[in-house]
Amino acid sequence: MADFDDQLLASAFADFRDEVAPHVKPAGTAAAHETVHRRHRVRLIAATTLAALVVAAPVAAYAAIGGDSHGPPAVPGDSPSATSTDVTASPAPSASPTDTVSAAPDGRISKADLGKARLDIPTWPKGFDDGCPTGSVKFTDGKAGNGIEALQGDPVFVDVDHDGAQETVVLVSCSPQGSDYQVVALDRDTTGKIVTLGKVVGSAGNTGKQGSDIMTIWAVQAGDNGQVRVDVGEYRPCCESAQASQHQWRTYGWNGNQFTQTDGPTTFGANPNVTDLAITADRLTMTKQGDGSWAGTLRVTIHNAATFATPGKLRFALSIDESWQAQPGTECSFTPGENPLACTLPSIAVGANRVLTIQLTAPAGPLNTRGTVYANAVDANGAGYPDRKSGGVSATVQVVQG
Amino acid sequence: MGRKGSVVTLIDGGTLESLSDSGPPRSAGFEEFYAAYFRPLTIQLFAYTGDLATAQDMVQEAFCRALARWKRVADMDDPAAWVRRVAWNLATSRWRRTRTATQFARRQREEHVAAPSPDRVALAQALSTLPAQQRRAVILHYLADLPINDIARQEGVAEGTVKSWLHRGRAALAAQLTEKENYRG
Repeated sequence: MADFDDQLLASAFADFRDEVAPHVKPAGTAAAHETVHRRHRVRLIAATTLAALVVAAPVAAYAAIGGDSHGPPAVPGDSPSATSTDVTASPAPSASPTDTVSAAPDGRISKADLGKARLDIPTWPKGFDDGCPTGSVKFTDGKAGNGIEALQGDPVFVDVDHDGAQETVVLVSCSPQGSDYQVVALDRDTTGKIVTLGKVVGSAGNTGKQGSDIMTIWAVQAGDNGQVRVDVGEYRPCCESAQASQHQWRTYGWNGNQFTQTDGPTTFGANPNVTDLAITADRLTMTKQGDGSWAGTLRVTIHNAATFATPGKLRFALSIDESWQAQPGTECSFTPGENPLACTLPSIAVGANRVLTIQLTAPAGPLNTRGTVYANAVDANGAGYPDRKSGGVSATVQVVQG
Repeated sequence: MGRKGSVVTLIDGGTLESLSDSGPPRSAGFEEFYAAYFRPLTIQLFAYTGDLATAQDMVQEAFCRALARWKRVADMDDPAAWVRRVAWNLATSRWRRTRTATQFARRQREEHVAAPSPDRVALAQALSTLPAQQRRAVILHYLADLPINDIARQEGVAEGTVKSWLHRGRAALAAQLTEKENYRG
């Protein structure tokens, strides 16, 4: 059946080709030469006019010189996404059949123009999106929504839809609590108005899965052949957390309807900023002293089960009854009055253990029979790195009377 | 199955040669390039858009862009692939959609481009019922004679995806054409 269909269609298309061919009337190479020369001439006139204008409104400049307003961009050697040098308007009327073939609008929008433009911003991920403006959003000094939403870095220019003119791709952030990101492709319509082509990629937001979804976006680059390269990471920057995201470049392309990933990795590999710690506490035996108080020695072991040394420094914490006194060894120094008591220690090598010994005393009277120990890695500012166990790394201390 | 050869038989060199004689100085090889590929490309885009005048405009625009950077395009391994991609990109881009209104207005003042009679475009009508991706795949396969890997490269998708589009598109088209034949019979 498939062979029959193939033969049927091959025959139908052959007939179609033969029947349509006589109706095709090429405008000719002379018309093509005329069009190219005319566009070149318009470009020169426009460039001369621009040079004479000390102050020129950006929109007027765009309308006058179209694709060359920012100088000739780099063109990939074998790519049809070559930037058009075409112009929209022609000052020289002509009878050429190709005169009415206008070029694609120039979609290159400068950072300065973007910063004060009204942009159509796609939706933000759920979670903290209430304060993030979407739809038609007016930017001032690169910000909107009382400064919560902001354009990040410099825009890049890419001919994403292969229409011969470049579009503008820019990274936008919204930071109501933590930060979400999206990369947006913008263009101009035939009237010069800025329009949104679509969202290239966005972070998954507060409801995304840390460690596997795209949770942050670092930067954007122009790729070859109309592609957009985006530097993404897998942890949402927020609050008191250390920046654990890796940098991973993924490539996206416009398929005529939307952007899809066309190259680069689709999953995040092992992350050296994510710990795999285990903490255990030996049973704590408290012995009654001559004055009725209690004393004992707590031994805690912290194990690094990850394939990387723990990032930054190791933070150990002990939560016990506030009336107790704790005196760690020389490797750890608690700040009196803190609860839980905490100190920082050097990083733990792959597969290694760190053992702490803490002398504890308790006042006379009934013993509180429970305590808790915690461990996590922290950066230079004390912000915590994530652990594979999302609930944190802790252990209960069992206290017995000796 | 020799489809490549049939493309060459469509070249109408005489008409184009007379045009180039009266035009500006030639760019080496451009005339031959234009003569070889204008018509096949236009037929492909007509099959895709169903509008011959628009197809001709888009292909002419693609050749203008090739001419503007002809030295670079001519040095490519496959200049025909370059101009084909530009023409198809124009056909699928917003460039075409944004021009629709102005094209319509222009045609009110112009002599209509002679189009094939409705009876001859049964295939075009059948094609118009296919999803755009299947339509492109079928046209690139049967009219542009592109192998699967070239279609996949042009469309920016996996070869398996193209095979799927072709499979579905072929079945749907064949069903429609068979049905039409039966109806006539």
